[in-house]
Amino acid sequence: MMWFSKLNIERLLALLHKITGWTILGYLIVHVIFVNRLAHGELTEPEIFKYFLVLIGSVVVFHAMNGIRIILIETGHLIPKHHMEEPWIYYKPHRIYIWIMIIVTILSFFIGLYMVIK
Amino acid sequence: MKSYEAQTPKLACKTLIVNGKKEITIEPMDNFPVIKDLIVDLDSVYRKMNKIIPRVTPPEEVIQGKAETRLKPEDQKELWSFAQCIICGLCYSACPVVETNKDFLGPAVLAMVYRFSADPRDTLGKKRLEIVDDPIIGIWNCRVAGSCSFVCPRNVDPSLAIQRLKEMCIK
Repeated sequence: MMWFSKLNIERLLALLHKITGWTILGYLIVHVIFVNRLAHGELTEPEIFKYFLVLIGSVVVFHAMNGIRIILIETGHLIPKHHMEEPWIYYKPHRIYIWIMIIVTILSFFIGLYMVIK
Repeated sequence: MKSYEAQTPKLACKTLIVNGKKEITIEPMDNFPVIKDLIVDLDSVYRKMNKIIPRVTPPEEVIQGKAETRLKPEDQKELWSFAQCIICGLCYSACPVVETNKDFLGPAVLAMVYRFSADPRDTLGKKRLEIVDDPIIGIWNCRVAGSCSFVCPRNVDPSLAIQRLKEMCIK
């Protein structure tokens, strides 16, 4: 329950990173089984599956961008050089990256949806 | 003990009750065994602290009085911020990793590791980095949730210290 208490956004991102990671792994396993069944002609691809793929695409984009954020932090590229008056999580480049990440994830969902509908 | 003011965990002794407008919940800190009522057992933190040799160990010549090491004012200013920890345990209470991995050294101890390892007068930095480079108890368990820094009443910023330690280990 600690994950859900009202704290900072990075905590939520850490939780989402975990969830999206397991989701991608689950998808890959189901994908291999599903394609195998398709190849053997035992299943047909339902129409709604395209929309599901759009969602998975956004999940992958979020997971990848958050992973890059963590790598940049751990290699010292997204943390301040000196101790700040406030917690480092408010470091401006870090905040900007988080906003870019959120925007790109939302955009990826709508672009995917547009491509499917089109 | 910790209090919840607007759902944000704080130390009860740092919570001001001004005019009673906000609802304040007082409860024992999370992730520690409760001894009685609001009192928790902080022994696990002290045991973890002992693992990392929590003291500056100068070179042998300095101990014998044959040489002298100096701390630059800028280094002193930087290290001072990380040395302000009062080991209150609130960062452990807020850390989502400590909740699931009781062996994780935790924010306060890792901030202490950075404080000593970054000290130019110290000689055990490499040894401490080997201890915290452990996959079970060490820095790589940190999920960069940043809650420790968010709740710290002394602005120690343990999360920044952990990220710096990761950087030091990578290099």
